[in-house]
Amino acid sequence: MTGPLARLAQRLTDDSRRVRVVPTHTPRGAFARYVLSTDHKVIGLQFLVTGAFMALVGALLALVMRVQIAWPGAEVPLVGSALFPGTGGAVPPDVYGALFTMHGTIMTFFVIIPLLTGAFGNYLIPLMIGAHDMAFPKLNALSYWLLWPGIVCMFLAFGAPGGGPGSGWTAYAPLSTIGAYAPGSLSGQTYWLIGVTFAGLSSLVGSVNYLVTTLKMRAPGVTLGRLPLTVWGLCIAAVIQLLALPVLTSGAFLMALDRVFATGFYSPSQGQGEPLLWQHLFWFYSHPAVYVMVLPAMGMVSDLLAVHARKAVFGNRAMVASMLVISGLGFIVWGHHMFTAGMDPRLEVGFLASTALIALPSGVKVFNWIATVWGGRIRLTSAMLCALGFVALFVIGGLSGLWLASTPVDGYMHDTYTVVAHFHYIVVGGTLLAIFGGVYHWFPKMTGRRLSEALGRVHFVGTFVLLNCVFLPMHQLGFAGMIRRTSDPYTLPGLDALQPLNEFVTWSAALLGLWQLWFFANVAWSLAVGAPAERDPWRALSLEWRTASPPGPGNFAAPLQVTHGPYDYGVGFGPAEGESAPLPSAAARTGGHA
Amino acid sequence: MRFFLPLLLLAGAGVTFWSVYRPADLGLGAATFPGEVTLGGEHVDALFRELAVLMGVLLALTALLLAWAIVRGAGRRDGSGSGRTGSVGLEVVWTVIPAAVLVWTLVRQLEVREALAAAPRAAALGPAFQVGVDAHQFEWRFRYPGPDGAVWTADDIVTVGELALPAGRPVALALRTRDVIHSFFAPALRVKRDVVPGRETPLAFVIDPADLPTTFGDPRGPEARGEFVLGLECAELCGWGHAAMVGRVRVLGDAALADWLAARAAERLAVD
Repeated sequence: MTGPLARLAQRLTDDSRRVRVVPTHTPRGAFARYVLSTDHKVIGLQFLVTGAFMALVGALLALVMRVQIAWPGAEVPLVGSALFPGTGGAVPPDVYGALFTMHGTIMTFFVIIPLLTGAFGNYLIPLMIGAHDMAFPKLNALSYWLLWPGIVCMFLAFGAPGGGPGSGWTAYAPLSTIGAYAPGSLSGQTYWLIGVTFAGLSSLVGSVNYLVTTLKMRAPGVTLGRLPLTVWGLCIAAVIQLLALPVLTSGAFLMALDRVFATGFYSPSQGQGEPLLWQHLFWFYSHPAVYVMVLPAMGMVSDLLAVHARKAVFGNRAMVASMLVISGLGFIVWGHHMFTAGMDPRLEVGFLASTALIALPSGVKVFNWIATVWGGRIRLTSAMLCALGFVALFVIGGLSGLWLASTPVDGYMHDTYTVVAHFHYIVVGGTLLAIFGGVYHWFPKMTGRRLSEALGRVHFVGTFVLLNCVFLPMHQLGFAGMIRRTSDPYTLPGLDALQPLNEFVTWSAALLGLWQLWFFANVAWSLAVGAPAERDPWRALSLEWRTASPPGPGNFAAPLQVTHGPYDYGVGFGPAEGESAPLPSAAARTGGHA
Repeated sequence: MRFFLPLLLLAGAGVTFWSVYRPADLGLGAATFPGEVTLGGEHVDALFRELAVLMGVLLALTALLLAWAIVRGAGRRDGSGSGRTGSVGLEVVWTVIPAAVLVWTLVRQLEVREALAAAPRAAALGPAFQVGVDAHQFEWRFRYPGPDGAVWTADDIVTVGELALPAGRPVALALRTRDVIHSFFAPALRVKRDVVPGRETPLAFVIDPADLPTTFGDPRGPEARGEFVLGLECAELCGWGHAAMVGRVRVLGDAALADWLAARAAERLAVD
């Protein structure tokens, strides 16, 4: 192709116009090396630890909610009487509103996105492309440290006089703009807005780095066709962030104006505002945001399946194409969150069609994953278990989306627990399992230690079973008409019958939370006394496995020369290519790749 | 693990099926949809079931394929997993067939949408029964036309928490609120509509006498005293009292409805 578009594509991907950056020397002192470091590996680990901490906070919020749902008005164990003396230890309704608002916000903006894009993105991208660091190391450190004002704002929001934000992570106006409608959330809601904006800034800054690094700093021989799918997923997510975040930020700015200066953007009582405008602006970002969460996870799962089945990702090009299609379509489906809001029916039909379409590339990915492991030599390591679990639970979560995409059925299920089941299967069953899988897989590289496979299996099996115990019944709760965000599901006569099911879910959730101790114990034990890990314990072919575990400063001791892709198993090449000796009979069996 | 994991996946898929097709069998009070009572509501249920069957087929397919791949693959002891790294033919197959299925779902959805929209318009059913729904933090108020025959005027009959409706006649609700977004949701009606401040949102449906219990009897006529109560919830977070914003939809035979309205009007006059 010719013309300006072709020239732009050429400049973006031209290997020869490489950025020449001289690696800086290792800074002295623990503070500079481990706290204010600009090394992408340290920053990645900082994101990992911070994300894990916030996950704990978010999970505790959910558990307190679950106690209230199962036993409305009951005293919350351990902390109830201290936190809520006025109600005998039970969760007051306005605090309940803050609980689910903060649970959703923290999990989305401070756990899943930072863990996937911040932790794995930062740690893996330079290593997987053979670079010594990110393109902008200081900007990278900034993206991590921008998260902290956001976290501080979240805690301030909770503790604000008058109470925390109570309009859900979706913050629909005018509940979120007029203080009189939510008397417990005067400054809390404003802190929330600022905190979310900081999280967005952190993501924006990080996204710039991921894209520029991947486009300009690939080692010789790392063509775009040889990029691991993890990197593709992370980069496509970065593009989504860059395009969608500004819309949320602008919308949030208008909301802040409504709150602080009584303007009338979203609030009908203040100058004929339009509440649906906020919904459109919010969901224009927040729907693509779910693809920001799921695409890196999908990329990682593809890599995990390939390595642990010792087999190329089936249909690599189709996998990349499907991720691109998902991200593109993801920008034109946001109205499916608003099917009952009273949009023009013609808009409804448009969103209905685009939402149905997005099932196609997702299905293509599932079939390609199955084809990847089909005929492979599967090693059921903890990482592989998590990757396979991801495929299973992503299928269940994705399928329930078919109901939600059909407006007549969505007219029943919208804002019921069926929606809660749907997205938790994908975010918890999907992305969280992918994160665990990523940790099991890359822990040896990050720390130079091996994790215990036995503990990993125990952790996986319990987590998988308990996840289903928690989220599967939520489909039924929604069928029966139990609405979301309710501090007492049984106010409607007839819904009392749901209490045993809610109690089962709550007990399962508590056990699920406790079960994660297996994982943390595994990590702690391994860091303390775990067996040292070799350079390439999984016999994988992507570039991060060519360097030491953990990699030293600058990552690679010598410039890399890459002549094969990350999935070229069984092709038969020698140790000079950087792989340890190929397994026996590989070349004889295949006679070259298909 | 080679056999345990596939068994786990298959068991999980099995429990998933059962929970959708036979939720009551799971015990624990597992519940399902309350019976639908609208003209056209059965189309929603039919679409739900058809999609559920489709999902069941896809879930079975993926679970079986995964389980089989794991059993075979985890049993291998030698070599790299060899074999093809891609197949244009397969990509085409598993794009085109799901696309065809999706087109079918789209067609079905449009059919059901049309059926639902058409039901209240059926002319033979008579003029629409108009009620104004005034959603507040945290109660439902309903406004019936007073002597002037119009809703939203000063002489309306206002009730709190209880909406009385006729069966077999088109109902035209006009949803308004002066504070935050609420959502009118009566599960048995199979409709949900957000109530957005700053606008009036219409909601139309017909309660089908054929879906009511036989004890309800004939909805028309001077002896029509049947009664059937449905639950009503607010399905959009409206503040700290969201959980408490419930109400009743009382479906009444014509005579009973007339009595009910007269009683409400009398209460209003007594208060004034």
